[in-house]
Amino acid sequence: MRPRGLTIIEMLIAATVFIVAIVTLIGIFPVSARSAQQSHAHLVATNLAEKELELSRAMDFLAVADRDKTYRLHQESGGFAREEIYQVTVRVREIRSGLKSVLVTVKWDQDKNIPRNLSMETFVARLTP
Amino acid sequence: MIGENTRVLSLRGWRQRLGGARSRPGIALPFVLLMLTLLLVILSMVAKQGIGVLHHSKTNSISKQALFAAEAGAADALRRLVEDPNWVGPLPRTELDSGFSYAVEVLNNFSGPGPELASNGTLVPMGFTYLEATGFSPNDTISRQAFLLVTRGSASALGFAIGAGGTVRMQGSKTIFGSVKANRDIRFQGSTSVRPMNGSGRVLSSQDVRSQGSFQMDEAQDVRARGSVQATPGVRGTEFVESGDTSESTEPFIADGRTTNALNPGEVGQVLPNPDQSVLLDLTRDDLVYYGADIANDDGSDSTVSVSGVLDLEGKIHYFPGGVEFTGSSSIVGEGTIVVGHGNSMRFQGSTTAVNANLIALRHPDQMPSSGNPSIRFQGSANVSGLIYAHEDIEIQGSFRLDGVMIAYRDGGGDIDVQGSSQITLASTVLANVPGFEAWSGGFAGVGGAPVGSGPLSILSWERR
Repeated sequence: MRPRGLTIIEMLIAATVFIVAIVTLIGIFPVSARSAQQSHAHLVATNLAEKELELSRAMDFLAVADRDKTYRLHQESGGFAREEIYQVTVRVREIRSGLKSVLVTVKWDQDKNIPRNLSMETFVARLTP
Repeated sequence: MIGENTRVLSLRGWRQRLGGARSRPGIALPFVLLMLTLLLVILSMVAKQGIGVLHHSKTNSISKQALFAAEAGAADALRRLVEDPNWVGPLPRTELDSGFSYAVEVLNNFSGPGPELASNGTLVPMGFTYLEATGFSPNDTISRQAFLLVTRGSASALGFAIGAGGTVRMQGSKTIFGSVKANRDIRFQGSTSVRPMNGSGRVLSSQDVRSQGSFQMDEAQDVRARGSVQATPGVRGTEFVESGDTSESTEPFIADGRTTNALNPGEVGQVLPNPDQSVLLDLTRDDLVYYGADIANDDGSDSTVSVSGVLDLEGKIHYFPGGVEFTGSSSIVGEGTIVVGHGNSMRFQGSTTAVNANLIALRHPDQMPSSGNPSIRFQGSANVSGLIYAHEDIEIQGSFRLDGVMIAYRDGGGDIDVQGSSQITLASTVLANVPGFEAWSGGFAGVGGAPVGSGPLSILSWERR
C-alpha cells in the first residue's frame, strides 16, 4: 500500500521547481529582445555611416567638409511607439594635397540611456592634378 | 448539486486521461522536469538567435569598415597615380585612425608595351593600371578587397549612356543605367529611373530639365541644368538637384567637327565623339563591305538599299553611302558595324534585333556641320547591343532596349526622341571597338584643355569583394 497524499507533496515540489525555473528562464526573453534591439540599432548606425561615406565620395572634392546631422527614426513594436535618435558627425581631415580622410561617427542611446557609437573611415581623392 | 457532479465527472475524466496517475505516484516531477527541459531548449534557441543576430550585425559592420579601409587605400593609390603616372607602388600596410589598415598592390600598365596579367589573373590592357587594395580589421580577423581598373582621361569619361548635341525627349517608362547629357533640354514623360553605373548616372543639361511622372535616382546621383529643373512630382532619392548650375559638368558638349577629343587651350568640357571617316570608311580596308556605286563621285545621290530578314555582319563594316532601310522584322547578327553616309538615313521598319552591332549615320565631312539628315529611326520595338550614333537625330517609336551608348551629334541639333518604354544600360567599351573612334576609347576628353592621356584619371571599374 502506497501512502495517500504523496502525489500532492510531489505536485507541490514540482510546481515550486517549475515556478522557480520559469522565473529564471523568463529572464532570457529580455536578453534576447535587447540583443535584437541592439542589432537593429547597430545595423541602422552602420547604414547611416555607409551612406555618409558614399555621399562624401560622390561630392565634388572641394565640397567634402565637416558636417553634422541628426536622424530621428520612429519605431513601432508590440503596440509601443518609440523614437530612435542617431547623431551623425562627419569629420574631414586633409592627409595631403588632393587626399582627404573622412571619419563618420554615429552616436545613439541604447536602453537605459547607455551611449553607443560606431565609426567608419575612408579616404577620398581628387582625380585631377 | 449539478456543479459537484460536474466536478467529479471532470476529475474522473482527467484521471482517465492521465492513465491513472493516482496509481502511479512520482510521475509529476519527471513530467515537470521534462517540460522544463523542453522549455529550456526552446528559450536557449531564442536567446541564441537574438545574440547571433547581434553578432552578425557587428561582424557586418566590421566587414564594411574593412572595405572602406581598402577603399581608403585605393584612394591613396589613385592620388599617387595622379601625381606620378609612372608610380608602380606598392603601398605597404598603413593604419588608419580607426585601427583598421590597408595595403595596395599596383600593376601600372599605362605605358605598355602590351597587356599584362595581374596576380589574380586579371588581364590589364595597355594604357590601364590595376589596383588591388585590401583592408584589414584591427585584429586581422576580417579582410575585404577593392579592385580598380583606371586609365588616364576625364573622370567622367565614358559615363554617358546618352549624349546629345540637341534635345533628349523620352516618353513612357524608362530605366537608364548611366548618365544622360544634352546640350539643350532633357524632357522626360512617364516614370523615369536613372541608376548609377560605374560611378555615372547623372542627368545634365546645358539648358533645362523637365520631368512629368515619377523620377527616381540614387542618393549619390545628381540632376543639373544651366537653366531650370522642373520635375512633377519631384525627383526622389537624391538631394542633388541644381537649377542654374554653372559647374563644368553642364558645359555643352563640343561638337564642331573635330575628330579628336583634344581640347584647345582654355576650352572646358567634353568633345562629343566624332569618328575619323578616313579610318572608318577607308575603302581599302579588308573588313569593309561597300554597298554604293562610286564613293569618289558620290554626292549623296546613291539610292537607298533595302534589306529584309537577317543580315550577317561577319565582323565587318557594312557601308551604305545612300542609306539603308530594313523592312519587316530584322535580325542583325555576326557582330560588326553598319554605316550610312553622306547625310542619308538608316531606318528600321518592324521589330529589330541587333546583337553586338554598331549603327552609325554620318554626314560627309564636307557636309559638316548641318547638311543632310543622317538620322536613325526605329519604327517598332528594338533590342540593340552596341553603339547607336547619328550626326543628326535618333528616333525610336516602340519599346526599346539598348546595352551600349547612344549619341546624337550636332551642336544645337542632334535630338534623341524615344517614344515607348525603354531600358538603356551603358556599356562604356563600345567606342573602343569601332574604327575611327579610337580617340574616345579612353574617354570623352578632359577639362581645361588637358591633353588626352595626361592629367586626370578615369575609373573604369570598381569591384568590391
